[in-house]
Amino acid sequence: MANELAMAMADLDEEKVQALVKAGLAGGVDPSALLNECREGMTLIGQRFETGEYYLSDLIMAGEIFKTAAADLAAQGGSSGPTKGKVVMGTVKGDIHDIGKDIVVTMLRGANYEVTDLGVDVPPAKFIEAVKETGAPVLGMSGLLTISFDPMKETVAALQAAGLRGRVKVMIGGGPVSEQVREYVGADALGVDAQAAVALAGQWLAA
Amino acid sequence: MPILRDWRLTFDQAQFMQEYGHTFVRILRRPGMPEVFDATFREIAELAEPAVIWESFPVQEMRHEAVILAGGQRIGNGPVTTVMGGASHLAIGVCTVGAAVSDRIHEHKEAGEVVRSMLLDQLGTLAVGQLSQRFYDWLKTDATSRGLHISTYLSPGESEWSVRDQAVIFDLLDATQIGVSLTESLLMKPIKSLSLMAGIGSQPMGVPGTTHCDYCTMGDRCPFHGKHAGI
Repeated sequence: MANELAMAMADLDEEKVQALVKAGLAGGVDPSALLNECREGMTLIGQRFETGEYYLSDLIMAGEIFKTAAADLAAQGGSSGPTKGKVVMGTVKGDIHDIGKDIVVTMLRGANYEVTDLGVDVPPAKFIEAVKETGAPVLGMSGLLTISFDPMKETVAALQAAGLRGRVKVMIGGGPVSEQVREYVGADALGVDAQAAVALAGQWLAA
Repeated sequence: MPILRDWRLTFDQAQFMQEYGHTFVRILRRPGMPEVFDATFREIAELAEPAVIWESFPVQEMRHEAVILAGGQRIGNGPVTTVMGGASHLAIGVCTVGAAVSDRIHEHKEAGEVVRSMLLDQLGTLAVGQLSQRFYDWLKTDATSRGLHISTYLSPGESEWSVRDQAVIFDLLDATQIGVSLTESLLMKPIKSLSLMAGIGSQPMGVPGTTHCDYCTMGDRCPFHGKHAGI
């Protein structure tokens, strides 16, 4: 059943996910094991998005299905154990676009990262404060406009000034962001989509 | 400074599904989702309050790197002079579908209606794109009727034309008259707004057959690439 649940999640078969979770719980399956299966399904969803099989709307739907299943399983004591690590995320100062950032947050949480979502229009000082408070070794900045580049650069400079740059990896993403922008900003990596952001967090936090 | 409000935007669900339906196949299988789509299409039609403020500004000098207007203002870099070189006037406008759309997107998100929020956001973007195209078509008809030519239009920040010129545009146009303001970071509020500029002159300008999409730095990474004209 375990593999079946991951596949149902990956296929975005909401009814089947709910039925399998219910049957699993009724049959005495460890809620944590079921939750981990759902997370495996989320990983598959990310991979399908990366290959172009799935679209943004599918990621949003995946987040909804996962959220419901995870809440049901958590209510029964389900836990994935320690998270894979902490990530601070936000849309930079001056920009209020949130859909892309929200999807990255959903996929990171689905992959069992502990994400502090600072929302939109986040000034550099707020990013620094959150990194200090959480001790997160990964910072993700999103921006859909060209005006986002300078606040991204300022945030990286503020990390440096706060003496945090050495221990914090920075990823950036958003429509107009490119490798040239990454270089200009001084970020460590460009996450072209949500799955890339999850992969980057995986590389950095496994190291 | 003319303000145009009599725009009839169309929100054709069948056409939208033809263009973008393949990206919603799975989500539409969810119980209640077709109804959410129907409701969101009704919502955008009810909430959109299209308005354009614009003015035609005589060109004093066309330099290699920028245009100098008769009032002394300097505007345009990136591809502007390539696209609009030879223009005697620049038509500059700010288009918006109003604050109610943006407000409702936010309300849906806060209420946990993520799909509806995302769909309304997409429809709002398409609506302001449609309005911009309609305004441009209106300018083109007007120019043609006077025996003049019009270049393709560009928007600051979309191409290599710096977004910093938003400040110049908002100095030239009092967009607060249609409820649009510019934040310190040069973001237009309400967010479903777009500024644009096109050259008008006695001779054809720019590269024939090109549109603003051809100069956009996002290229085909933009989900609306080449599709703004209608939904």
